[in-house]
Amino acid sequence: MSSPSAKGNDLYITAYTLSSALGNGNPATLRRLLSGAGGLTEYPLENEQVTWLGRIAEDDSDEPPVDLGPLDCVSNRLLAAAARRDGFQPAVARAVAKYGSNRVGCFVGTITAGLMHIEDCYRLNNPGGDDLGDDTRLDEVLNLFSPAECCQKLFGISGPAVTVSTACSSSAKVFAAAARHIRAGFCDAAVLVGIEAACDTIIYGFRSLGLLSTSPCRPWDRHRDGISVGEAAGFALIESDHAGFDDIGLLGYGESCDAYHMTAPHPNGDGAYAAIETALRRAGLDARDIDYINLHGSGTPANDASEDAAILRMFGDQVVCSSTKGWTGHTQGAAGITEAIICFMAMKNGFAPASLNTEVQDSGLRARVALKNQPFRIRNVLSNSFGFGGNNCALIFGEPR
Amino acid sequence: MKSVFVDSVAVIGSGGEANCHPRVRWAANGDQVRKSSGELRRASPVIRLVLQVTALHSDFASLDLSICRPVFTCSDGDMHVIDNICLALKTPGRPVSPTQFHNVVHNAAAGHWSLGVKSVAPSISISARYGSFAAGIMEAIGCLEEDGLPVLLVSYMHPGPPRLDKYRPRFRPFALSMLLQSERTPDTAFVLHTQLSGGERDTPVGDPDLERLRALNPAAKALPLLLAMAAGKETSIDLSLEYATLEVEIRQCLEPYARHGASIDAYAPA
Repeated sequence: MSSPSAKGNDLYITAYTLSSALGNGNPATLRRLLSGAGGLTEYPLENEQVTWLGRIAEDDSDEPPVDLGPLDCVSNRLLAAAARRDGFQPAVARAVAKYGSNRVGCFVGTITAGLMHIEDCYRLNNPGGDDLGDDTRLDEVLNLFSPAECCQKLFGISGPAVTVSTACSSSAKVFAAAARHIRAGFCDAAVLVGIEAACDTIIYGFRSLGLLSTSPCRPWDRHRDGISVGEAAGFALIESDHAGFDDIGLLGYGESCDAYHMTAPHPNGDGAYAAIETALRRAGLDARDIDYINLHGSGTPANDASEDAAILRMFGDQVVCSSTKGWTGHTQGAAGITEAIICFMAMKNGFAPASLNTEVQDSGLRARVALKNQPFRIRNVLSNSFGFGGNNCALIFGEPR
Repeated sequence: MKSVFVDSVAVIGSGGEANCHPRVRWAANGDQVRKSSGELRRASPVIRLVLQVTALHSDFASLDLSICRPVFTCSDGDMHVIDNICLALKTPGRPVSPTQFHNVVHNAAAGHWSLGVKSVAPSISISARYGSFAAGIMEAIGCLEEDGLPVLLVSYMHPGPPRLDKYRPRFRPFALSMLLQSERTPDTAFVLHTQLSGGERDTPVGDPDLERLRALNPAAKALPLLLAMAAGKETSIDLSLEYATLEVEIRQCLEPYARHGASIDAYAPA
């Protein structure tokens, strides 16, 4: 049930592109999703254990790489390569021509920005000493704003720019932050970005918590044992005006905080439930209006159990759900936009992607998780992203109203 | 132009310790705030600074801060945690500490705050490098327009360990906690009229020592605004973002409010 006031609040996603372990750009990603071949590969850890990673493939473009100057680092290179796909740059150029460059904002979600570069400075230079070498660019690379500055330059935009860094909900919350800035009149459109390279801080940090899967991650499976770390660079262009036939509506979003534990989720999924409830209210939709749910579904025992409880309480066990982290890995600060774009593909192509690698659902979890791709018409989708610090965000996308 | 109403401000850092406005509390050093709990002592210096400035604020804010929407803004990540993890990563076996990993996320300070006060309000943690404070005001305005809940804006920056800090000019810690509302209340101390404009400009402060702090610590870019508030002065200041300037005009509210009957328009800029 949509109310007129909710309709009037819709914003429009008018272009998007994703580079992840599933491929560089949307056509490659869709081919992999339809073929059933995930993107995770085995990765040896230092202590002879293994884990599985979702690495972005080498850029196969014929164009020479962009000179990033002092911003040069792995994550900004991934951004520059990904931005060239799927007509995204021309779409931003059209928005700049329409609204003016200072009316197009830039909202980036990331956890680590260029941290991998600083890890290298520690590792390569003067072991044990304090000299990190002569390439320790704190402001240009380590600073969380680095990818935002990089995108401002790549796209020639000078509207409000900010990095949102709320752990694994970062690039879901960029949709909410951009919506607030557009509604407050600070800009008319915005480039939304999620970027994460698989750096050792993330890989060995999750190992330290005992949350790193020893096989490709298996969300909701009875044998699930943790996450597979993934990389992604995702972009979406959001506008206050309808741009064309292919637009997707940002119908609602909801944010909440668990206030329960720094890394463990609330066992009853209270925070997740609150975020979903707010997103539905803002969208003017009922639970029954949601056709498919892209779960946060990180694959850790506690996270999946908590989210299952929230889903059951709000939707019961009939809405088709899946976690797509078995395809891409958990792309951390880029997970929100990665999974939003997979939702766009699901809507445009009429299928719910499988929860890849999930073989036998945990008997204690009752959400209706798709074990195979399921073809059906999807009008409205919910995408969940939850992060450390109990930071939750739920997004609802649908056909523009 | 967007207007936002300030209930109260707490500050930790050099600048305006003396002769403060009744709705501004300013401590030179976080350790003056209250006896540190065990949790505070174990926390990284960054998280400790945030918990100290919010504790200072909660002692006199006219609302329970736990009902506010937190907007946390800080230019850098926690450099102490980054240093600790990067050292672990070059040690055989790469023994990253789980506690350090909890705290490597930019929203660790916000997470510890929300856990401490049991706040379930939506929480955001952002960075806009040297424009982080002004970006926090803009996000706060967006939040206030979204649902009307009061916003707790916390802007902070603590130096890192010497190993990292030798690659940039040294600066001292600075943090502020500001309670913002979308409407005027009897407790409103100031109204800020804000406007984005082109170019990058900053209002300096007169004292050379404070000016150095303002120029080097992104959280201390609020100094000209805070000094005006503490002194009860009405003025306009510029806060550069990385792409534009946020112009902020400060008007007093406490005294005129006592006269009753005056509408908000009476405090709009001339």
